[in-house]
Amino acid sequence: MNNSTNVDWGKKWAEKARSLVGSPALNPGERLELDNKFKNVLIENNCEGIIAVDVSHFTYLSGVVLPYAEQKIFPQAAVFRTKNSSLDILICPPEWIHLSASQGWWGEIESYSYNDGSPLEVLVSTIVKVVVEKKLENARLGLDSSALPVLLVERIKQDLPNVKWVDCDVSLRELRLIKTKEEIKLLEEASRQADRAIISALNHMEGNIYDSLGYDIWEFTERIRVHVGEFGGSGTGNLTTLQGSDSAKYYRPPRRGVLEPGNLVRTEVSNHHLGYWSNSGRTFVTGQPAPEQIETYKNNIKLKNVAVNALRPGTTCMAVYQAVQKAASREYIDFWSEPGIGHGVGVSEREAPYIVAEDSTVLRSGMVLVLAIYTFGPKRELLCSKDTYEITEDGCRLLSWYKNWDNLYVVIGDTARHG
Amino acid sequence: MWLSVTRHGTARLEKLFMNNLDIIEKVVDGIRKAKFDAIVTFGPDNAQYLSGAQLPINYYQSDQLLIVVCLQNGKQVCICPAEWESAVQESTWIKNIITYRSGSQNIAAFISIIKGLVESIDNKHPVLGLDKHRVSQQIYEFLIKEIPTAEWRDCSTMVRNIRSVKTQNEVDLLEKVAEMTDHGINGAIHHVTVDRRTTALTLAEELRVHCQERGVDMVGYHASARVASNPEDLGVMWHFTPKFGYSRTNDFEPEETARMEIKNSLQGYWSDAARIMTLGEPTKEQHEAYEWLVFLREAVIKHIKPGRKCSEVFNLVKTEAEKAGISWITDLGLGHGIGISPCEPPYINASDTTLLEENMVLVIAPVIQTPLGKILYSKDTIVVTPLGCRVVGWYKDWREPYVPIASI
Repeated sequence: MNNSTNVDWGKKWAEKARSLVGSPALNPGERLELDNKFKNVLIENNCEGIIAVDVSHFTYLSGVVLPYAEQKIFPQAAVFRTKNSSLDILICPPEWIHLSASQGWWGEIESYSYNDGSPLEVLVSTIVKVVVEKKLENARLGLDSSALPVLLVERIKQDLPNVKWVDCDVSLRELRLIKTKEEIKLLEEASRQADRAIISALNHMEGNIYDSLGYDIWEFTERIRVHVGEFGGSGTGNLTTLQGSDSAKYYRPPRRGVLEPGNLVRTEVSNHHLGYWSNSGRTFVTGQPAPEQIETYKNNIKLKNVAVNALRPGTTCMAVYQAVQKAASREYIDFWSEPGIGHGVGVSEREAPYIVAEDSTVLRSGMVLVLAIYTFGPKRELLCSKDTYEITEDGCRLLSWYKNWDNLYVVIGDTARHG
Repeated sequence: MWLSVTRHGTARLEKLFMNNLDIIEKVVDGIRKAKFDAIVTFGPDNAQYLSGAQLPINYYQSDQLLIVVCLQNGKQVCICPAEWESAVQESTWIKNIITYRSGSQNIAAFISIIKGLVESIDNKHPVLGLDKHRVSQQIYEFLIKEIPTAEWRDCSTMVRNIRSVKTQNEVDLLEKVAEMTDHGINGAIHHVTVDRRTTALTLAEELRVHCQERGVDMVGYHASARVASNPEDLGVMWHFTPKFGYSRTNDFEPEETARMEIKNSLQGYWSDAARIMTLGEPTKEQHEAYEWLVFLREAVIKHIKPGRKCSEVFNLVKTEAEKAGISWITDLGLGHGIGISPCEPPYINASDTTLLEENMVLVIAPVIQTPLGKILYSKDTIVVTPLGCRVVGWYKDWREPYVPIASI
């Protein structure tokens, strides 16, 4: 056996990573439009480059999806994108070297060792090292201040005193508002995976719901996750199923227990396809629905149709919200206004713009929005049927088209097949 | 080497839900000792730790924040978007929840609530603790601007230290979820013995389902299982990119090594486990690789004791491994703390000088690369005791890998 404890594993793995053939979500041709948009941000901010640590910014700028990085208590990776793409560099711990290369990262990878300091110290020292090596220690560079911890910013500024730092967070978020055609294809696919997964889980469940043991809520929910994978998804996020009085809550983990006849049931799932997210929620009823269950569900769809009719370029988000609010008031529909009625979706499951009373963002072609309208059922259950739309030149296009959910889905117990 | 492995009962756990796990007493004590009037905590895990509120979306919807303010007198206030109120109420022990309207003006909305709370403190120039590791530069600038009368001091070390040493209630939860996870893993791999043929994907899904059956939280995101068995996948740390939530559909082949990994949570407290199974009696390479992992695990266990620095444990193990000629991935350290986050301080590496204390809960996670390039690891949970540490959660004696031809 060799004594290899002094091996620089970061370098060794980075070397191996260079030989990996990457399989990116967007190939270089498809990334071109996105990269040109990014370079305009650099020009607008007069920056030589931008260092981003926010997980979604990281994915957007590098094309690399990090595994559950949002749940790390301190940022572990940063991407440094520059005017001259040949200087682009990605900073990460050794365990993420291979996954970055295998997702088609085109630039250098600089890794650090956990033995070189605390998470803060190693990230700061590696960023400083990279900036100095690229001879940019006197340059004007951008940062994403909404994600950077105060201590990280203080230390970087201290260690790179001659860099002129610019907050590019607003520019990056603005950049992400409008999706390229290729990004929209990925979002459409993520929506399809979500709906296929939900309908497939329903199909499995309804064949068994009336057996003597019933059908567990957690098992139904788990089947959604399993089916997302079967239909090509890369991961799931939020997962919950709520029935009866529990569905008056926005979220709780699925309860241990079986689906009971007569209940309105709301299931919510977020999932991603190569880093692009869907944020879905659907409502169904177990057993033959009561007239008031059908009625309240129809009301929800009625409001969604009002929103859909208002989704067009040139309209503000707040105008769409107000249209729904007015319709709810006019039609006496019990509508839960607190969360607003929707939001953007992209490399994160919820992002700007927000369809709320205060958001004056003007809708533009290429935005992708989730309409998430919650109304109340007969027992104060929260109902929703979330759909994803692309804003087009003359209106909007449904991306979550796999199944039409305009009628309340009724589980009456006669199928056990995939959707 | 003889290992002390403990198993845990469930009786006490049933009483834990919706109580503060004795955390708040420790936090208030810390606030008083540091002479803060209050601490304002950002970061989803900090907020969960100080409120008990379990909201997995909190980590992934970074435009919406759950903030917990803890006053010196023990009073706590939870600040959250209006639509999260019912979800927070469902699992928090905090009675006082103040909501803000969600949307594009979030920061202004929650800072105005914090401002109101600070103004209610009986001190015109209050000293406030802020975890500067966790609050963004943008929010910090807002806080300073909008609440100029306060003196903001970094409390990140205080929060880190409090979180690192668990209360007995927290230890109970972590022990239980470690046990459920190992039992779930064993339940899943017994199917390989019975079914004879399976795929990496099927086993990964079985791992998760079997843990679910034992009662872990039904949540998504990081609560996922992965299995790697073919040489290509075993050659990297994260295979099947970017489908981290799933595994490949390759059949297991004779003489392959299956690297299994799963994370679970129980009432928001995590387990982090990784195990090895050999498809058939271990080959010479498999046997030697497993021995390396066992050596490293046992060396860490031997050296962990209260009063010793994490870095000292790392260096002692490194010296012993060098003597034994063991090839391991030193850059990844040897383990980390676990609690409300699946990976948190302290870290067993060369740079962390944290002194080990009783009731720290750690995951020992050595990683090796075999001469043929396979990256293998095991993960075990330990609790630091007055004299050393004890391994928790073992359903099977993991001094040997699982071998599906003979282990059932």
